[in-house]
Amino acid sequence: MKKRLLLISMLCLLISSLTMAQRNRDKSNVPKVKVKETISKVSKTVGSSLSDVYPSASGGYWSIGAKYLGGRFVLYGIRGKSRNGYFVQSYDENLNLIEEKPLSLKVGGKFLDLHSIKKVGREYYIFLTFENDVKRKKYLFYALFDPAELKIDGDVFKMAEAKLGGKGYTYPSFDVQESKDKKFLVVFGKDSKKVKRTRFFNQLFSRKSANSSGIGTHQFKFSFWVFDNKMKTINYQKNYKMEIENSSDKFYVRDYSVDESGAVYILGKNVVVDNLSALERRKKKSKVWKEYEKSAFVLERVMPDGTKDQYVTPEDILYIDMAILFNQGKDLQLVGITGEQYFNGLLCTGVSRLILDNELYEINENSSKFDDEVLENVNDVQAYEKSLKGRRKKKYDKKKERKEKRMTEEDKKYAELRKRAALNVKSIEYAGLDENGDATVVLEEQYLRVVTTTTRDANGNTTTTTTYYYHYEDLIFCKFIDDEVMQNFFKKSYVSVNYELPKSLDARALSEGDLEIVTQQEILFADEDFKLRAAEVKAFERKNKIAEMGRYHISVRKITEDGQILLAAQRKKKLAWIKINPWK
Amino acid sequence: MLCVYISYAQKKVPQPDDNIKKYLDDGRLMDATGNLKIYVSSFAYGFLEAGYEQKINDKFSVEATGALALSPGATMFVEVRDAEINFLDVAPEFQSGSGFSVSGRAYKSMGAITDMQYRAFTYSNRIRKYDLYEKRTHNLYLTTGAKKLIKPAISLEFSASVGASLYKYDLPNPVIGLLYNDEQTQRGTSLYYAVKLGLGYYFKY
Repeated sequence: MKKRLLLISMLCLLISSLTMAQRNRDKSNVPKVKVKETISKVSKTVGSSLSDVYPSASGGYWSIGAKYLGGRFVLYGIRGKSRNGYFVQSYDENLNLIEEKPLSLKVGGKFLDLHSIKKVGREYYIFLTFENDVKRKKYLFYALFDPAELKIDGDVFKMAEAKLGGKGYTYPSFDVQESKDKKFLVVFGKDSKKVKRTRFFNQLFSRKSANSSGIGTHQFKFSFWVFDNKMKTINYQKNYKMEIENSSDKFYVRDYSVDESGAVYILGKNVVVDNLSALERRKKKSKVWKEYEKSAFVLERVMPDGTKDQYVTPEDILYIDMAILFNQGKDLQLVGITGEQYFNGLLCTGVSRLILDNELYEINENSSKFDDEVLENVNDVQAYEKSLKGRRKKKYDKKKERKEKRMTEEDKKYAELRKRAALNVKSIEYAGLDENGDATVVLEEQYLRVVTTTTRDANGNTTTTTTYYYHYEDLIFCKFIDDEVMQNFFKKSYVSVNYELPKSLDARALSEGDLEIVTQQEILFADEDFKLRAAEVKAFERKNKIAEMGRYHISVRKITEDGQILLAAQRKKKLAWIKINPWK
Repeated sequence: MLCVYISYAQKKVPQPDDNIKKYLDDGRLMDATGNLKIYVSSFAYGFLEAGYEQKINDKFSVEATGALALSPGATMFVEVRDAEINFLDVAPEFQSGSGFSVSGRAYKSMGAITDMQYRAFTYSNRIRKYDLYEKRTHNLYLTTGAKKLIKPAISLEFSASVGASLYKYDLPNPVIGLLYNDEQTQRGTSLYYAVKLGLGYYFKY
């Protein structure tokens, strides 16, 4: 009898575990495909903080890694700046480490900081910065980098500068971007700016002023330099600011780029908000104290000869984010995510594409709300309601009914809006054009959850711990083909604890309209009809181990130009590269 | 003329400059090879201590110091140190003293000898002469410290050390009856700990 009972309980356990496994497997909405994974030999590196990997002319690869050398201290107001040591690694075609060399960034007796590495023309350039406290300037330098010798080749040149403020000022910064054909380079420099302190009384009165128009108060002045592939400056503008004729609107600079002719494109966000007074809110019986009048983008083009053109997006559409795409000199496309006001913010409800000709005249506008199928799966409210069954659903419906009776018209409007929005989409993660000039946008739901816990020990001492959970969830794919917008989604969930990923995903448009995406734990492939396939990758499995290394984390995810995927598996100083071959 | 001037002004753009020394010149001597220094904190122990640090490469340096005792030192420091000699009923009178030290330093940030944090291993010797006895100490200790350029060639250095101290009391004029035992020499070991603050002047040759 006992044996029979044991057997039955074992059988029940087996069935339940099998169903659970099945459920977990069915969580994804796309078919899985097996791919070939090649793991390199495990090697030890000194500069173990890798940021990127680059192909070399010999068919191998090279990378730069940093090692924190210390130096950060504060003692009675005396501060020591931290310093990194840099090391260059070279690999063979199978990504086995050949050698690692220290990279000295000491020039003229001073230690420079590594800013970035870019390929311009056929050459790799290394960009370095230095802060001169006496001259109150931050400088950007460049030098040629020789990947074969793993060292800086030739002289170092100063190319840009920005004002360096002291205490109470923002930090100066540079951004370096190359054109799509790698023939031009643009450097944006942002000066230090005094941080405005909002005093208590100012806060008090600014809320009370009934007619105050909440035009964005930030107007960034910036300088930019445009260089050709021989590093000759072809355009330079100092303290540049975006302005619309007969308007006092101010802009946040959202994006900038350089095209194949050396023209600079600056995309500024222009948000105009009316702050409502307490009286106005009472009259309107509204909980909202902000009214969005406009959330538009302004595109400004500065030609190498200094002439300017401007385009302003339609004012009736509230844009949340936008990206510039160049279509091989034929036209220019602006892809954006659109939204609707939800209390005092905006919720993303759709996507939009604007095609501009070479004179920056709009020739096509294509906007679309998210599909019902996408929302059913991605929208948290709809997904939760869909998951309810039986008694739980009845209980939920009753509660909802009771709640709706108490709701005002405004509450009902917002509750309805919550059901047709991608709640946690705030920006475009990837935007690109395929060979046919069709734009693709990848959106990712991202949000931060902060959990503060307080524990009390036996002596009554309390300890408070704050943990930051960075959530990276479902993906939405949109492709603009003529006047149609194809949409798809991918359900996923990834949480990074106390570490915000510098780049959450990498994507690359392949030939024939295909798209390849590497996320935190998935590799996806979208064909020209936007059908998704997911790769079965062992490297991403938590339980997966590499001999001599044990468990690891993936620090670099990269798609090369030929569509191969490179993943850096690291555990402390140990490094192994995982190469995943294309699966077509 | 105006058009020509405007077009010229538009075309005049700053070109990359290879004379980068003028941009890097912030008056700070970051590639010094020698460092003359004085340890301010040694006054508290009664010593005037001066030293010289020589750079070997970007990571390592050596330092030698010499010290001259000027006073018995502040009571709060010296009494703690000389607790072992409290067997004397009468307060000994300070006469003179001297000392030296040698240390090897490693700069983790490859910034020898100007900036940033360092670790050091040091041997130091101190002699204090009193009217009734003489005290010699041999100290071996590890140091962790940091340097910061506060002026173009002047640095502030602070460090904390911990190690072992071997001490020896020589009693050239033993006073019979004042001692617990009548041996002329007493030896022992104790914990060594110190906090140091120094000012340095950099130069390059």
